[in-house]
Amino acid sequence: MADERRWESHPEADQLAAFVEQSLTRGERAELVEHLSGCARCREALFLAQEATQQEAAQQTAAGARLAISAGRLPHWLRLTGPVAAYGSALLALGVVSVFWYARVNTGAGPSPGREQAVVTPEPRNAAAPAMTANPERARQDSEKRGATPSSAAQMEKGKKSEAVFRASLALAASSEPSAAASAQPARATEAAVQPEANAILAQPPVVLPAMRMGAPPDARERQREQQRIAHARLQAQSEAEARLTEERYAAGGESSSQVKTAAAFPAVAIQAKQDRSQAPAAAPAGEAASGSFDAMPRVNGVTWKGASEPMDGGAAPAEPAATSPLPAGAPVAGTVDLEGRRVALDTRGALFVSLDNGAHWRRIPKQWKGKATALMLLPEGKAAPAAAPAQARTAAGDSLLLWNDKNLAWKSTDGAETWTPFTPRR
Amino acid sequence: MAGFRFSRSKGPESELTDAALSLCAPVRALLRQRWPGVAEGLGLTFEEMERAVLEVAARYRFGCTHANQPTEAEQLAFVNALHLEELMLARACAAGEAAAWETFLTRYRETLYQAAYAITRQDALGRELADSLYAELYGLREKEGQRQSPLLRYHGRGSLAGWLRSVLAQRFVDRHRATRREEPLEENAELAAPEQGWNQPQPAPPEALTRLGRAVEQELSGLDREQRFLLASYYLDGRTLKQIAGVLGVHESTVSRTLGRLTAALRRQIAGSLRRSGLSRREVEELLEADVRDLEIQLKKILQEQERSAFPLQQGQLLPAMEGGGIDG
Repeated sequence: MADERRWESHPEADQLAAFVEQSLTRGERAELVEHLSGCARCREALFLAQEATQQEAAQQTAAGARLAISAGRLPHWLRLTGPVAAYGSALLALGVVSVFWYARVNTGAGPSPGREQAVVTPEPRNAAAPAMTANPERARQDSEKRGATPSSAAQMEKGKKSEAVFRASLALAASSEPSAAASAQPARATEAAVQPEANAILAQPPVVLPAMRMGAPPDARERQREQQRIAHARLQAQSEAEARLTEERYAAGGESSSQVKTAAAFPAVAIQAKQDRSQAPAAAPAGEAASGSFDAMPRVNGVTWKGASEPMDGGAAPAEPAATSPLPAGAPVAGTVDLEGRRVALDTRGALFVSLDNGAHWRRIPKQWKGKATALMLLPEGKAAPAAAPAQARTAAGDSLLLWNDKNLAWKSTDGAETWTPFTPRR
Repeated sequence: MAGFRFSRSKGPESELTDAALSLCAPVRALLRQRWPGVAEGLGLTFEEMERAVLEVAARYRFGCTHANQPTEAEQLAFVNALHLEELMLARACAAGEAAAWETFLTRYRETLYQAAYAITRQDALGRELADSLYAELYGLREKEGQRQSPLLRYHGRGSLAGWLRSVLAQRFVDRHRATRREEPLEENAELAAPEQGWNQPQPAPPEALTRLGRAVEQELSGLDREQRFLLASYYLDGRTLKQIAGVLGVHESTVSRTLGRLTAALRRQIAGSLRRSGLSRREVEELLEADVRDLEIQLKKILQEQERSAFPLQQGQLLPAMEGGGIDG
């Protein structure tokens, strides 16, 4: 039979699906691989379909795991008695919790006479917090004196804090009631053994949530809930609006996608960073060969902020980003030299670039040296080679450029970094 | 670009009249056995089912890539591997059977939308993609008074769910490529010459780099299809080992080992080619450490635009680690 096959441009969806599911014959599979090796469009579709398959399989596996603990996998006797036992245990647990809570909180007569009740505001908590955390160093020293390790000291610190909080809560229940006093007596008896900050806590006015106490009027609880809802809604709306505003601002400013994402995720940080950049300190005086090293970059809040718009010569950060594009391939800049009419830059990967428009566009200089270029220097005519230190300075015509590699060998260029020849310093 | 070839159906009637493409007796017996459970409940007759299977068989020549008449064993293996139930469901839906549509919606509607969300990774776009396909599947298009449903293009080679995912993926890729306004390959080579910022003459690269570029091109051109698929998927498309392994049906470590061996072999071959061109060993080693950005080669063009003649499948040609569960045909 004559071969009546005709050529198609792309395989059909059925064939792609069959390929993924290993349903093709060996010959068909080979033909499809031949096509896929040369067709990015079909490869992309194939991998997308495969990802969708895997996601669905993962979801089914998760659903199957949930079903595995359903009645179908339980022993027969548990299937019958399970629901009843579940309800019973839930009721029992609820009852225990209720009794415990009633015994702890409800004094029956309301607040103790002579003891003020503070409305819950952040200030009292924060006022108490320093007392709790005022002596972490002391706690650590105490634990070290006792021979404890730092980790165990932290645990002891944590344990003591929780104990102090518990005793503070017990103090709430302390009243003229004999039962409450009796329950507080064991705690008070051991006060001498409790850390001083615990005593400080006990001495503080109790922080009470009136709405949390049994017997508080319902409208007070409702008011508190409403206040909390309003506060949460305001916070959420504020953060969302801030994030949107920052994202739009950065997108309009032509920031990179990663920067937009960072700004959207941490709007406060991004805004602060931008403000800090605009308030960068004044530059070193002109003419100084400022180091272009990382240490020379302005530091804000302990973080060095650096972008394509940051001047490498330590000058004052401009209020608006400069029209300088990042180097091709995106590697950080290791050093730059400004010649007359051009700027030469070396990146950390050892690639050399030149720009004729003040950094707006860059052109790569083909490698004409051995090894990896690590430093770029200026060699003014008539002067000996300076000590190895990268320089960024404006120069006059006739100055040469020096390039050092990782083997401490040098190359020289006298035509604005276009061509390079091996250089031997005069001794 | 190498085209993908398969047997094109000229129409059901022409295949039926071609005696060479009729179903053999064992295949008919198999269909007769499976018809009650597969097609009868959907309102399809045995003849309709047989016609559909024969159409698929003629389209793909029972999965045979050789020019000979498919044997009975090949026919049986091909038909046995078809997803007959889903094929019949698709045909019944394309014919507008209400019961078939109920079954299809129950089983595949959620799959359709989930796949669209997974492919597009956006709720709105995924819904739009799924909705458009869903409307087409129902056969809202008509041509010459007949409903045109994409379900007619499902042939049962893979599962219906897999077919739906592939269709969605193809549509998304086509739409994404159309809106992205891709540049032609010649201008979009990832490892091309350095940045062409403005119209200034570039200094010619050193001769050694030119030799290296030529050696790389030569060795890459000599790769077989599986190797090119691996390299293109991993280096050009940026796929992970896990993704490539999922597509090929092998373990992730297998892909990793294969890629490692392939790149090591390429490096050895390139080094050998440079030595044969007259470079010393030291020079070759130094040259292999050159920055790839200095090489004037277009990797994408080499891996994807290579014109090659179809070569016959040889025994063991597939990399041993990549031999999946394909049916011997």
